[in-house]
Amino acid sequence: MTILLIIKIAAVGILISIVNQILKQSGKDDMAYFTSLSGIILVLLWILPYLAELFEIIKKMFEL
Amino acid sequence: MIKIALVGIIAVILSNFFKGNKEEYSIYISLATCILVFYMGFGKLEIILDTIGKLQSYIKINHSYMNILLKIIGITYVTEFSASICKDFGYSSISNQIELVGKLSILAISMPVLLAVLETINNFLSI
Repeated sequence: MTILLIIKIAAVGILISIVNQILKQSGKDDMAYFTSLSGIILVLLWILPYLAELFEIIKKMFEL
Repeated sequence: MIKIALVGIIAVILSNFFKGNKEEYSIYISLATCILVFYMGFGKLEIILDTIGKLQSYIKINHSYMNILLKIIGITYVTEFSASICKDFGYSSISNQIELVGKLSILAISMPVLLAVLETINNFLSI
């Protein structure tokens, strides 16, 4: 839960965009679409637990 | 505090990098930064809540009112958090809806306080 999370997300973003460029050049557009989708889902899976934990903390702290 | 500022600046730089072609990653980076900054500022909030608890023992405030106060603060934070993220990316209609519902829920929660005030006024007048 440090800045590593942000750097990881940025790294995934850069990698996915590179892979997309390569796939687009080589003509496989549908593969490019799948890789960008998988990148989005991967980062979503990283962030969701933290978001859920954040809201749990708020709920516990303010007795919502 | 300095750490929070640094994290914010680094995240903004990284997020702006993705502004050109990959929009969704800039959304992710800003969301992750908001969560990270909250985790960093969490300790200060804990201190404030503890002192509020101690204050209650000195001043005889009814516990339910303090509870309502805390709930309102919590709801405000959550509403502000989500509404500002939605507004950040141009979806102001969604953020306005979130704020509207936030205000409604705050109003709904503070209804008992309103009734209590009216009752006390009634007691004064009817004597």
